[in-house]
Amino acid sequence: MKTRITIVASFASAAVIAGASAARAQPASFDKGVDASILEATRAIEELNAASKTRVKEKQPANRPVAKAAPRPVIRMTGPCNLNGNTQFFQIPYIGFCGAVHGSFTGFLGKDFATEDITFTTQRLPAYRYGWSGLGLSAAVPMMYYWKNPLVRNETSGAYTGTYSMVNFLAFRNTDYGTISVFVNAGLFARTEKNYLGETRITLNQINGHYWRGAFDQAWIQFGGLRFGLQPSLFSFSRTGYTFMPGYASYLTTPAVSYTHRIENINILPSLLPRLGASISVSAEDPTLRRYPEGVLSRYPTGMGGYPDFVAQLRVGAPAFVIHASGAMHEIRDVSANAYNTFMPKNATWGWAAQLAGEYRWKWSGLVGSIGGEMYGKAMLAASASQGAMSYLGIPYMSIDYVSSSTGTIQRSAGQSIMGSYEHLWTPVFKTSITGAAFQAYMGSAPEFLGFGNVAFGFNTQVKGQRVVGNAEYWAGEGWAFGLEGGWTWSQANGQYLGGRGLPVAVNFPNVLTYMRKAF
Amino acid sequence: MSRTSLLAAIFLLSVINSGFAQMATQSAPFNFAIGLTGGSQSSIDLSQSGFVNVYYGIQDSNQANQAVITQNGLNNYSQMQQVGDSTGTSSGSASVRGDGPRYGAQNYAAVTQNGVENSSQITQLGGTNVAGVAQNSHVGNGSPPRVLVPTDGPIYQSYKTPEGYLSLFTTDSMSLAVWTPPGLTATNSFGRMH
Repeated sequence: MKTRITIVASFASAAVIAGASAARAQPASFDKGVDASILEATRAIEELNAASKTRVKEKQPANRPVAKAAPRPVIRMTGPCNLNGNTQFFQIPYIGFCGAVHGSFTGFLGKDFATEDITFTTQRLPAYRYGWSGLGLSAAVPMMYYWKNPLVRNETSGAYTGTYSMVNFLAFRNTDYGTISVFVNAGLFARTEKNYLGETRITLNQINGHYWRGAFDQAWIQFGGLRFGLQPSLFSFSRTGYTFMPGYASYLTTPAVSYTHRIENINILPSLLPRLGASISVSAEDPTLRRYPEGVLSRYPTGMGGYPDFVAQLRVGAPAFVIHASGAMHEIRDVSANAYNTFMPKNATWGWAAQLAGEYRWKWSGLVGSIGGEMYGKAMLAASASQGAMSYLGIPYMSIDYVSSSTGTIQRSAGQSIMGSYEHLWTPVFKTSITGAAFQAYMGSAPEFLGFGNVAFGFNTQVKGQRVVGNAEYWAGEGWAFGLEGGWTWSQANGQYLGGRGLPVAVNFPNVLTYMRKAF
Repeated sequence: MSRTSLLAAIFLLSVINSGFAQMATQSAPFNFAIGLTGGSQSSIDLSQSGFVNVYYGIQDSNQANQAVITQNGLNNYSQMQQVGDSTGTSSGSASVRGDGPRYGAQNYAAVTQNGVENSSQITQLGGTNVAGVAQNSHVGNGSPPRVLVPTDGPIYQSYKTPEGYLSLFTTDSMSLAVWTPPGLTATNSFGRMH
């Protein structure tokens, strides 16, 4: 039964974690509806989880005698799929697996009021550099410009609409050597979009140019603590907080191999921290989804190559809270300097990222007495820092991982992001939530001479952003939910050139969104 | 060269090479321009107004190279090389050179500098070479150079020219203008998606 609990918890976790695919490949208002849309499924699973725990408590004494096991078949189904009358899991014929299917349909309609935004233009200034044919001119010295782009108004004219609909499938069976489980989360992620010319298109989510890949959010198989396939990055904690639109935090599902070791019932201050547990996880993840290049000042080779991203995670939790710490190492492999001057090397180095996050849940009556009524609250906070692995900050595509000099020297970008969110459950069917987030990033290059004259060109560009999102959601029963959300975004950029500070550029804009969701 | 000769050279340029020049105007305190052009014809038209104005140019077209440079400031510095000859002595700029037969191009250079310190250097290696430099050490009878800076963030503009690409970037302290032929053009843009 303990295994069952683990599986169900794993399913719930997977469903909750189902989230952001390549953030840079999707509009900010699009990439994170998934968290909200799977809440219904999560809730159902949590109910099952609670039911299984009840059964454990009822049927299994804490110090039950351990009988010597008789020889058994190598693979054998233990226990029925039906649990306390809960019919979410069904028997899959012939193969001995229990399965469960959940899903949700989410439709949304939104309006982005941005009429201008910050655009960064990169250039390699022509300069004399040594090459295979001696001294010659080549595109060499990196430079970055930032400016206010008015063409954005064409992209945001009118409203947009779309759907974020998916089906979750879980199957598992217990064996003498552990539990085998399979989870697939796939669906239709599409929305209307406008280009710079104001032409409307319907876009399907795609990753690395593949629509089929964009249709799968998760697809993994797990044996014991070992998991293979498309799964949530161990670095992830939350992307959106408790609102629909995203804040500034990373949440990514990625092809990976991971191993998790769970430590249950840590007996530390049991009166204060009952049912305390922990997990330690490590993974090797697809590095290509974590690359933030722009092609001229930073360029990775095509394909995976090199090392995967190495990610580690520690989580400590109890029913009321969870604390999350994660770290990642990301290999930078530059080919941009070599692309413009084959005499220059293809250098590599490592970027890193770290995150500390936590969530706490409570019932208000426990804090303020009867005035708290039946209201519940939960709050989360996540803070990340990175050098050379900017994707892990969960920020918009306003920074690149690094800048490569004309000679291939890699100067890593650096940045931090923070996000806080609070959800207030006023009644069992109505909640409001608010998310605040901020980030900053620095990109730069060491001054270099062009080869004529005596002026060395270099730049240092700083980008900052803040965002606030508010949400109200009503559950109408029968799995229906209706939500209304509004947000405001501020962004600033500033740069230094030739030793002088450039003029800052700032933009801000609101956006609103309404959605409906049906879970099944 | 006298002012009359200079004007004559400019007139000749405008007659022969009219229609494909993309003028760049810079008016920040510090203005820096780089011109690297090739192809069949090369044309650079630059006006700089600031405390310090700098221009470096290499033009290596196989038919005609034209440069009209105007600098108004305290310190003006202009250095250009117009090649376009039949032998291509500017071996270091092979990637700039225009394609096709080279019979000795026409080179025309006109530089006007108004400033306290003016410096100009012109090298021409073509079939027909015309150059004129006018330097005035007094800036508008003592008036400071005209400086205009953007007030609502930096300005970036880019143009596709017959010779390649011209990018202009201006902020409150500096301005940068870069002409590059296709072989030496490497630019890209990125930003938040909506």
